Amino acid sequence: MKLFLSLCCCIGILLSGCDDAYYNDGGLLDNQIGVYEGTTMSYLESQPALFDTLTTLIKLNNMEEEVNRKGSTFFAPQNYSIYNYLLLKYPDPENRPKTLEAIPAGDMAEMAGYISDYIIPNEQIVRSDLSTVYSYSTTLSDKKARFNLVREDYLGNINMGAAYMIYSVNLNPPATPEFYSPAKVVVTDVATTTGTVHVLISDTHIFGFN
Amino acid sequence: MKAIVKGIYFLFWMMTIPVLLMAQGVKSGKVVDQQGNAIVGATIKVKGTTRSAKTDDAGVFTLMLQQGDVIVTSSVGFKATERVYAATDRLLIELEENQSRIDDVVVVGYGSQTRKELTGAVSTLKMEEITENQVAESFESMMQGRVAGVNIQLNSGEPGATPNVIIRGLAAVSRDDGSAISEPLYVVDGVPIISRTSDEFAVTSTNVLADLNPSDIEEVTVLKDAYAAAIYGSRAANGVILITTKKGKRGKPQININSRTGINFVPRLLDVAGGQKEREQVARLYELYAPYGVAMPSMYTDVTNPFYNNSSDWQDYLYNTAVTQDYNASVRGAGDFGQYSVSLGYLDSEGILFNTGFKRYSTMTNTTFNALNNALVINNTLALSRTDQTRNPGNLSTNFSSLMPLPTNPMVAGTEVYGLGKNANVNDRIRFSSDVSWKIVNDLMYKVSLSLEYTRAMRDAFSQSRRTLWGTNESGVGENRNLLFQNTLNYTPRFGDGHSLSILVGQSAEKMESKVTNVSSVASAPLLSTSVKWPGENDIGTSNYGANTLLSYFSRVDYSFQQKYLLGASIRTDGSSKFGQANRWGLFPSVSAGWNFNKESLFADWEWLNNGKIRGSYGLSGTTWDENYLALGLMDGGSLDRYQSLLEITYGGIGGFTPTWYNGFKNEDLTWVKSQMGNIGLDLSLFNNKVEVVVDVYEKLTKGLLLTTALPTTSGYNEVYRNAADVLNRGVEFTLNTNLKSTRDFSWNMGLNFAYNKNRVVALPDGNADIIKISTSGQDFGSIVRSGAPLNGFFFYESQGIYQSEHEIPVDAKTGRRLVGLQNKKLAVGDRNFKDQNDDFIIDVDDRVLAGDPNPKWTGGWTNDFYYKGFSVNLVSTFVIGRDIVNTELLDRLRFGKDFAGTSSMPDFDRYSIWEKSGDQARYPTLNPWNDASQIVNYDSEYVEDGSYFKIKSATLAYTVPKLLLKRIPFDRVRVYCTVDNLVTFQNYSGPDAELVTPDGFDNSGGYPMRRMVLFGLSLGL
Amino acid sequence: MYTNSNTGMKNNILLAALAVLILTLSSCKDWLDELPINTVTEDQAWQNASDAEGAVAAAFSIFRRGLSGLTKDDTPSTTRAGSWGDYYFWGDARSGDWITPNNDGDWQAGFENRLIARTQLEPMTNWRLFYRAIEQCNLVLERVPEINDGFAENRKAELLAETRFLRAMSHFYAARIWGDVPVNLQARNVEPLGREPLNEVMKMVADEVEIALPDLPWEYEDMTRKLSMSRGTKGAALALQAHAYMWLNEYELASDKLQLIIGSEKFDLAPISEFRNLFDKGESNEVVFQLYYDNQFGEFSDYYGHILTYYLTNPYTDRSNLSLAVPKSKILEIFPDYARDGSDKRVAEFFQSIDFSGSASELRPIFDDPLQNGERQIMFAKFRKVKDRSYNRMDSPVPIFRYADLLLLKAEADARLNRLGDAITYLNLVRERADIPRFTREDQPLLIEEILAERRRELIGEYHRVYDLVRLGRLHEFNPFVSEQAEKDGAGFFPVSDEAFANNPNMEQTYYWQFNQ
Repeated sequence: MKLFLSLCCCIGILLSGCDDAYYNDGGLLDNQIGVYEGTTMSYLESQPALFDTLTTLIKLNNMEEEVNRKGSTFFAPQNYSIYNYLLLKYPDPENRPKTLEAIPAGDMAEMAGYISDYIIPNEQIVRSDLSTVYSYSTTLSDKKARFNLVREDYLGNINMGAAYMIYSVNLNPPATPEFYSPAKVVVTDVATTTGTVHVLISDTHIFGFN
Repeated sequence: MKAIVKGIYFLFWMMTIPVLLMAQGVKSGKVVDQQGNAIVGATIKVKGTTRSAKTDDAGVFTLMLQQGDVIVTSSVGFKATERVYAATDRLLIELEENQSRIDDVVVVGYGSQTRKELTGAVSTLKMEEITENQVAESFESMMQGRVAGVNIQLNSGEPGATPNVIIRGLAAVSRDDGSAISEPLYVVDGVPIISRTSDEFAVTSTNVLADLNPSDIEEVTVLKDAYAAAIYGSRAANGVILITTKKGKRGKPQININSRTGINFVPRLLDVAGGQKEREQVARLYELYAPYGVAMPSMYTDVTNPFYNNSSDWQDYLYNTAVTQDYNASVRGAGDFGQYSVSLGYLDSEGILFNTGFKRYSTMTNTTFNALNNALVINNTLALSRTDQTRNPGNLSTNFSSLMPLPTNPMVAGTEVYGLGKNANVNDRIRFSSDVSWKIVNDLMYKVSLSLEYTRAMRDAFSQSRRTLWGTNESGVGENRNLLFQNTLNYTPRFGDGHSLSILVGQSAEKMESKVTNVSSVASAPLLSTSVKWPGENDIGTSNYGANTLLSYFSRVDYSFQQKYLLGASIRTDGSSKFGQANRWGLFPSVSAGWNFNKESLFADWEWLNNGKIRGSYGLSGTTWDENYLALGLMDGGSLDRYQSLLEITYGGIGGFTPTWYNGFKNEDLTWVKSQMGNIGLDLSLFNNKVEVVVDVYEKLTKGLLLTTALPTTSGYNEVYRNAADVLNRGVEFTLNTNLKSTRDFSWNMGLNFAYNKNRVVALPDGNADIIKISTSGQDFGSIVRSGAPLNGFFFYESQGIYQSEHEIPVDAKTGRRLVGLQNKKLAVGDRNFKDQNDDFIIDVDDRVLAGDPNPKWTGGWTNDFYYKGFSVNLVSTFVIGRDIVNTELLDRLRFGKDFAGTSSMPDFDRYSIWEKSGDQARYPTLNPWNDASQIVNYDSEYVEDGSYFKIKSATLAYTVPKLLLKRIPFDRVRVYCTVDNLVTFQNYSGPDAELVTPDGFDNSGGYPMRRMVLFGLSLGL
Repeated sequence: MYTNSNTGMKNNILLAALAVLILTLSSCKDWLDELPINTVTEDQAWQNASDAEGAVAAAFSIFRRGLSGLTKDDTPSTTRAGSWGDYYFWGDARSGDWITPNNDGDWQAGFENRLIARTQLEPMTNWRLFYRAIEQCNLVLERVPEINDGFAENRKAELLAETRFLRAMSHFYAARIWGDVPVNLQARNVEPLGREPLNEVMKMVADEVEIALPDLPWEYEDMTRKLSMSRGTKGAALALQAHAYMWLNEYELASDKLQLIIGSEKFDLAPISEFRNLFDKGESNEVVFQLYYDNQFGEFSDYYGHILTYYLTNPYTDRSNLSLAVPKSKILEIFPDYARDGSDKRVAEFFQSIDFSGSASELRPIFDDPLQNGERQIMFAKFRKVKDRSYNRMDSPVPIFRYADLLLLKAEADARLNRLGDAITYLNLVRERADIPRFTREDQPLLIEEILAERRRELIGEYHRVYDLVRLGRLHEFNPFVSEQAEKDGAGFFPVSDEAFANNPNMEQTYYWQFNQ
């Protein structure tokens, strides 16, 4: 009787072992992913597809050292944001400057001011010490900067999903009521040798928080 | 005075006993079968005298016997034996099982015939052997591969799903022409039962026949050809399945208990790219194809976000082993008064997918009373059953992105994988039928039967979104009521030497009513209890009612001369309320003839030929359709839209009727579909019934198939129904059963059957013009019905590989325009290169060619039983050969829309050759999600695969405890067994299981694979 | 004893059996006549007055669904399950004034006039529902005259006139979209019809309305003003006729018809403060003809079915970004007065700026300066709903003709007839209502140009702009993706869908769309 029952069991196990060969596991990201060996500037130059317009603008306004300032945080706008800005700045194609170098000095100075809106000179802002409550700091162009996290849903459970960072700058002059224009951060906490870099969303954010 | 009487009495005995002893003694003996088990109810007769006796429960009998008497012992299912009685004998008579089933009594339409006199193509199947080993929700899945010509496919692994039964080839266009039923007619104990609810009235998707407990079924008979089926007239063209339920047998009351538990294991699942692999694949697609300015969702770019740093195998989490339990108990018995049979059944099979399962509670009582010494026989059957299929609220997808954390991950502790709510599907059925058969004169029998059947399907679904707290609440009740009233007169005289005649005249009236009430409400909390309440404040209800009636007169004459020459003819007229006024009545004649040639003198000395019969038949039977009022031209009062608003019903609060745009306008001459079927068969049983061969050749021409043809858009109507197409099915069926008994203890029974079927459309209206059906994904993908091609034939675009470079795209010399791709797309490098058949430089419907035929050429099964002492091994396998199918499951997963990233799991690209840069020799073209029209098309001849498979469906090892061990315990039959169900599949198809494919050849596994079950069972008989 | 009674008993039992048989035989006549209970067959459908009332209402409800858009329930071969509010995509999308801030590929293809290549846009090229409304009208016109019981004679005439108006309106609306369209004036007409030239269709529309006019009242007594203006009234019919004459360049006839409407004093311009009632509820004397939506009667749309889903965002609906919007630079170009000194009051009524910085799960505040947000972040807010961050119960009626539209049409007609004085007075009625300076220049080309610009301002996002431009052949001036030659070849009209060619050899595609996608 025993022999018979054991025979049945081994048939069962033999045939049914669920082979999980169907799941091609690529594994997890190691936690060193967020570290970049090099300065913030070299990080931007290492990804031309996203930042080559930005790096040229920085160089033209020779703001490298502000960007590479020790212990600073840099919110990098992508090329598409600057592209949309230029479309707005020069609506009709005829008299749009052919190259960045051909941008008149006045406009270039204004763009330098915008670049400094993205630099937090003396503070390392990282995701871990932010929360859904606003926290504040000042930009290089001493405008008020505001940071907060927004949580998404997870499978229909409200506010239990991933959290992403929002970076907003107050555009109104000091005395008037504040108006913060927000931008979502799509790559957070890139630690370079000179500070921290966050990359802003490209399709809905226009360079200079227009 | 008393003493004298006593004395005389004593004296008398003293005188008689020695005489008896000397002349003839009262003897007792026992009749047993080969395994030594007592045979109850065997008759022992002394040849040439009227002295006979029957064995009692223990197989013992007493009989007055004399020296030299010839004792004839016989019993149903055993071979009769003769022995000369010698006083010294120890009367232990062993009977050998009678393998020949020639003189078995076979149930046929409205009566029964001995197999010898059968002239139609009829196959029978004893369910006892099957239900002993296997557990399944529906008896159809147990019949798989056991009857030649009956092709049964299980399309989904979900417990309680409806299998697909096709007898002798497809005779209905199955794509979006739901009205023509290609289902066979199911008849239980002579009464047609509800086997499926039409889509219009379907409330639950559970298999309607799943509530018939297989353990209650004694025998299933399949009437395949016209003669056997025509007696059922306008619903029998697709075959008739007669189910006979178990009845009590004479002798000791048979009490049976059968309990088994099975473990369902998870089979092979869909391939998935996990964790980092998914990120690489998404990044690759964005890098290759994303237009300027479109960025990856932040879950892929934000690499430092801990929430998305996972590699979760969702299928492993959602599919896990489950338990199936099945308990059956029955008490049956018979005596002079009649017979009784009471059975109870409980099946609980959990699905391998979380939160799915199927429960069945069934009970059946069946009593027969013989009155006026067998002149009047009253049969009553009452069957109650309930099936409860639980499913997940809302549509649960099993393929979330592998970057999402599993619910077991601490980051999302306390979250629910499923939305709030439930989705319960409950089907109840009450069936009461009673018939009185009265033998007026010994050969004339009048039978009247009345049957009431009531099914009630209830669905309660409530699902609520946590974000908006808005819940949708749906309760539906669908009821079907069948009434059948039937009178038959049966006259079976025997006269002359060997002439026997059977004349049947009958009338039957049926009324089928169906009613559905659906109430749904949008509310913040579950409002509706299980019973349907009429609408409250913001509930909105709809209801629908349909009824159709059938009135039929039928008669059949069977004549046999010395069981050698057999003739049969039957005719039936059916009138139905569904048919148009113009032709309400249908006529269904059929004739058949048979010749048992082994009885001829010529073959007398072929002793290896125990039985041989040639039979032929020709007849007409019909199929009808679902809609009850199709021919009357129904008006449509509008229906609730998806948000329960009245936009389609009223304008400014005033509602009115519009024509039903889909069924076109009134059409008087719509009638049922006629099938003319011819059948020639050969039955042989050889080597004293050790080998049985049955061969059938048939041709079935189905005329006037119901088809919808499209109308111009300017008419406002979509389609109109017409009796349009004729379809021809030709085939051969072959069955071989052998049972070899080599030594006393070892025997081997083998049953092999296979059937060949060829299906072709032979005639179409409007001068055989193609009928192009518009499918849900656009004009270029509708099915095509073309004369000369098989039904459901694959009319695909002929693939010639992939455009590797610009100059490969043909340019029209005259106009300089490039070839326009499918769905008017501008072709580019990496797109699929379809052949432009008619050189008009545009790929459209005219460029489609026949690329495959999903109807299986060969279907069949092979069962083997080995018996050795108490042990027995049973192997059941089924196979399908010569079938083309398409793995649409994979194609759907490769067809990415513009927001594909992060919404679901990604297939593992390493397993497939996908085109990326020119020069790649790949099977799949570019997967560009931002393409104007996706290049992954189901109708691409590149993806046609061979759908043949050989599947060992179940393997059983059983041990029957021998009699002598049973002395101590109160049971007289104990059997222990272990079965593995869905053991292994041999196929060269890329999808998980070639059986999970719908009749039109597209993979329909829908993510619910077929489980593999290991079952342990114990069956006890008192 | 037993034997003979047996035969006796046997006889009467035989008789009983036969009796039962005969009984069932006789009942077969009515046993097989099964009629539906909860719906009617064609013969039963046209019995009394309420059937007629219901059938005409059903025709209007099909027309309403036709404008909202074709779905899979109407024809399996189309590519979407829910409709988007196609009246916008026919009447406004290609005007060059709109963008899609969230880069939606389908809308972008629509703006760029790639109407065949983009498979998702196929439902908008399919006119099936227009002809379903026409078929329902044909059935009413064929069967209602025979109904007499419970039917007051004038009510029957009113209903038939109203049906004739709706049949003409369906043809007119289809012609504005596809140009040459088939004309079907006969019930159950399954013949494959070819396409009639645009002018023939417009002539037919004008003549049909002429027949219907005498029986149409200005208003129905037993209906509310809102419901009355959602049905066929004399005002709506005259407006339809005027528009048809404008397409035929019959400015004299158009001006006379419009004069009848103005003369009737049934309509007037609602003040700016009443705009919410006008656009959100459709309750205003300015409405001439609209399609009825109302939450109370359960006639509402949700995510699918209404253009509000793509116009509005949080706090009105659950959408967190903008899907369709007018860019800020374009608003300032269309409303120069507002750009100069913020004087045009309509800008605050038609546009709003939302504070997008808050979280998506709360109601976002609205800034008081309508154009405070950036270039791609101004929400088009002409039609609004309850601020409940959901797509539930969207029921603002869809306007077809409005008194302001008719005044401007009258101004254009008079300007083309060189009656500049009248044209300027009617133009200024609309300008005064918007609180912008009166127009005074008596220079014909300049005046026509200004009237066209005023129509662009007043009727923005109200499904008129593209028809005005196509009528005047000037779409190429405003839509960069349509060249002048392309517009001459018919690029301004929508292509005919594949399904129209099924089983219809007489169908042919508009010249431009034969060579372009």
